[in-house]
Amino acid sequence: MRNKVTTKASGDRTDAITMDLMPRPFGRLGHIWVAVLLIICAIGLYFYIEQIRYGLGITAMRDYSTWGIYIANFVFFVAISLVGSLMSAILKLSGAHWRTPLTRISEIIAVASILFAALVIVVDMGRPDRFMNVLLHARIQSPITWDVIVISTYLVISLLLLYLPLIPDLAILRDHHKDGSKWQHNLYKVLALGWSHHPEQEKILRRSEQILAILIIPVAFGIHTVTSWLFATTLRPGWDSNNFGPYFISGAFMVGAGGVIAAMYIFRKAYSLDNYLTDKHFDYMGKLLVLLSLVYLYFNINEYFVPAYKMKAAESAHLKQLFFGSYSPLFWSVQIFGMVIPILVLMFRRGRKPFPMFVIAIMVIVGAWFKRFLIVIPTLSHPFIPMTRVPESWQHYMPTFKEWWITGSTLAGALLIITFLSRLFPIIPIAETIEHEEAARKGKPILD
Amino acid sequence: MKFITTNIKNPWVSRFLMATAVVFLMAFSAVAQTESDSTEAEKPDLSLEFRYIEANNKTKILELIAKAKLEGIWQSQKGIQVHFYRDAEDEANLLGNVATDDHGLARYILPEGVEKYAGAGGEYTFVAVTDGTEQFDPVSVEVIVAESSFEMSLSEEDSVRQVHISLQALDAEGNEVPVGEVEVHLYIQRLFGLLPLSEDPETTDENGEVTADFSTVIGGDTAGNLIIVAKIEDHERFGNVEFQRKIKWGTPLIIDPNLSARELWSSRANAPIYLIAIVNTMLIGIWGVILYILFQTYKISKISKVSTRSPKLEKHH
Amino acid sequence: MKPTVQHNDRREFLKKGLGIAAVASSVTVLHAFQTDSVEITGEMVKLLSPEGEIVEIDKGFLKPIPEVHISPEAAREGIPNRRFVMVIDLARCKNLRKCHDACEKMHHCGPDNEFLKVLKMQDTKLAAPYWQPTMCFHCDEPPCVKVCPVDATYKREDGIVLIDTDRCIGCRFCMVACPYSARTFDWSEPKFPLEVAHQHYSPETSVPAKMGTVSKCDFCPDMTRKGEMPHCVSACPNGVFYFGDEYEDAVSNGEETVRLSELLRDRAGYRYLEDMGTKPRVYYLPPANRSFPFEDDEFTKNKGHEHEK
Ligand code: SF4
Ligand code: SF4
Repeated sequence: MRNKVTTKASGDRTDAITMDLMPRPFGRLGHIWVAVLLIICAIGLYFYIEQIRYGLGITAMRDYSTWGIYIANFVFFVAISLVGSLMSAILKLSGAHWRTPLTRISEIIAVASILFAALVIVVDMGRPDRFMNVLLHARIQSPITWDVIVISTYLVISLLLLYLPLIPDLAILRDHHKDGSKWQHNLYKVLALGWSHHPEQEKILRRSEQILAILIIPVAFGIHTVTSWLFATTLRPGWDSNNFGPYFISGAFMVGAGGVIAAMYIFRKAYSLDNYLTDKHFDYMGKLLVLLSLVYLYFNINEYFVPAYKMKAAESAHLKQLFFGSYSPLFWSVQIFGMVIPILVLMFRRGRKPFPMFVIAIMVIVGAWFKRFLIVIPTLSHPFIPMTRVPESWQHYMPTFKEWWITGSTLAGALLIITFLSRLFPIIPIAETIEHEEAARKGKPILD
Repeated sequence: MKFITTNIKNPWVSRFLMATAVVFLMAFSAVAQTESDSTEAEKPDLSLEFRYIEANNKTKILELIAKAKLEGIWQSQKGIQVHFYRDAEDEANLLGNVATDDHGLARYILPEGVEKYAGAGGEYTFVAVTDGTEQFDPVSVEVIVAESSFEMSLSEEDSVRQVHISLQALDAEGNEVPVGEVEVHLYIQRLFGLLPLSEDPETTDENGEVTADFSTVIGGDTAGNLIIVAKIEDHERFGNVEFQRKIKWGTPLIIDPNLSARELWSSRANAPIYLIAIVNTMLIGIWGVILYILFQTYKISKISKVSTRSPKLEKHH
Repeated sequence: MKPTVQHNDRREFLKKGLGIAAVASSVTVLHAFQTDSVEITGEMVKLLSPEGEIVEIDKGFLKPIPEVHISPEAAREGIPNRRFVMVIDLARCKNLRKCHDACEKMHHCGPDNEFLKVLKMQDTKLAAPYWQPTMCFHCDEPPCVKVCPVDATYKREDGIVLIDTDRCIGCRFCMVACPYSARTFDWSEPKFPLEVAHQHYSPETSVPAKMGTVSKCDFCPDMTRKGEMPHCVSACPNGVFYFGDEYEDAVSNGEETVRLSELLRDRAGYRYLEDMGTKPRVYYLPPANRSFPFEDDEFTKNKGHEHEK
């Protein structure tokens, strides 16, 4: 055991932490969970193959509602992926040390969702077989090209941000993880890059992490701003907005924080990590979520109040449908349950206890998904040239069962990736936690 | 490809379709109404538009358009065999056979030497007969016209541009005499039709002449060429007579330079420079850093090979 | 493209009686300098030149006009020295829908993929409703082209905006970018008669359409290449559509040819949603002084006001 720590007390503690945070095999519940997700994905894949064969006609999208829940889902994935940059970059740079146990969770969420964002876009394509055209004939004037560039960049940086802090942990796993299978062990060994706690190695690692943390911020802003431009660069009422970039980014940070809270709660329960993901963490995350929600609320007011005040002809049909029309129940539920109530509840200390936080986080996530639905879909039913002589079903987009299922299976797929990554790697950074504990013992508080 | 488009932009089809009907004779459908025992409904009438066209004093053309009203809509009839005769329908008088095209049009250019069949006053009779088909009965139409000499010349003096027309025809004795009181239309040839030079047609004077000023400012081809067309339309004696000339009286065409501009809506090859610059700078900048980081991780793995000692042990002493 | 002499076609035209008659419409004459690909036969043929003169040339120079197939690459070029433009006279439109039917027939696009629509419009409650044919306006600054990631839709030199469905990835960004809802998507495998399905695809005909790609009105460049007008223009019995070349400053509706600038000036021509900045190539003449009453059809009868600005 190479990195056995000498001081008796701290040595025990280190061992304890290492043991606590080691990835563990699935329990019964874990197996059921994985099986269910796998089945959902398999059926989704079956439907997708059907979609490839018979075309997007198996969805409810038609000429007017030409973008549907696939795109809404894409925006949702992009949004939630922003959490990685929030936790591991913004909080890191602002010196919030309490974030340490949350970084791994958020990076895993980020990687999984950005992967699926890319996948969902392919699912939405009419000709996925021509995907290579996007590279071969790339037109630099198109926001889609920008999106392809920025998504792949963000994916690479997120992977690095997941991987680099993982290296010391991988070394620990390489040295201490005995009960895994052989391939698992080999994986750790290869990925650990021969980490030996050499000061030079640590220096390089720390520096690289720092650089990445800075680098990911503009890219993260870029990815969601460009995604918002897919809408804002068109002339459509409801999308034709200068507010869209910051509106999307603030919404993304909010749902990202929600995602981390939900994951924290589940991992804490599943792996009994109460000592590491403490009530204090929930409290901080709750405060952070309130802050982010308030920012989002501000942008929402901008986004809806200003055009509603003017009520330009094209906008008014859209806004009236949202406020009083067929989308109003969804619209108001999303605004109230997905934003207002979370803000109110999290304002109170009692609301920031783990369980209420978990419920709120789920509300935020579900609300955020439907918010993306409300951003993408209603606009398309208000073209400038009236939509007449079209079948009734074209006028009211209601996704088909298969479309829902394919969408659902991408969500399941993302969860599956999160589950596997947490099965393979410590969900809470071991090395960093040890480091912090030691720092704390020497008088530097961790949770400040 | 160029030669096709250049020749085609001036096709006979569009040039003559524009003219209003010359001879419009309804079908003699009842004549062939013999299949009384047929269970089929009555055959629809085929209506023929038959006209005589004389172009640039040289070319004489017979043109026939076949149409039928089917299901309440007038439709051009394609593939109808038409036989053109002079004087009367008779094997000996057969001029030629042409089938109608997609537009129901059959055109026959009269061969040189057809003049010898003209009467003393230069008049002709032409007959067109269609073959009966499953759908239509045979129809025959005729047109009587007189030969004329119709000429146009163009002049430019002291930047006054003028179009001169003269019209002559044979009198009963066979002498060429000017013809007055005939309406002459002046046009500029455009892609899909003839643009009238003036609102009202000109009329020939007792010398059979017309002089009209040309003051229109209009675009020509890249060299400034225009085709000016003078026409007598649907004349009861002369039928359709036309004369056209090409002249550099147009404004030379200048292609809109905006088309090859580097714009957001241009092709990928014409992307705006600033966009290429911005995107590439950002790409190089960010990916440069990423590559640097990758190199750093490679360095980490290298260090382990240099030192396998675990320095952490000393760290806490 | 190097023209070559095709003997069988020549033989075919010789069958037709005296022959010359068919010459003008089915054969064109090669430029004299292109002798390299010509085999001189010694047989002379009389032809009518575009200037209306009879010329005598060797039969070897005759070349049948093939049904020109414009490949997707060639279609990007556009017809040289042309700038197509359309003017739609709303005062004459009676919703006869002949344009629509002709378009649908020639492009095999079917009711779910209409390239051309005739819509009931009403600008304000007090103004009378009117019929407005709409299609792709072939905008000069087309937002649809701006957003295409793969150059599948492009603006040509002759002003036409086309789609290469061999290139299109089916992202439908262009559809949401077009403020005029001009584009349509083949959500499922389109059904064609066999001969249409086997036709060589060309962006200039938009036929045959392909599943998972977009299509739209193409201004019928296959027709204008032949010097003929788009199908909607020639199908309209009321002369609603004027079509022409902006460079020539003339448009024609099949009956009359008028100067574009005068028509737009005298009849107060406008473009739809001018403030979008898309610069359409289709102009409208306002539905003023109509000599016939507006009549609802079965679609609009029970719908009240469809569109109020
Ligand atoms: S009308 Fe629409 S599809 Fe046509 S060019 Fe303009 S924006 Fe593009
Ligand atoms: S759907 Fe096709 S034509 Fe339209 S933007 Fe996408 S790739 Fe281009």
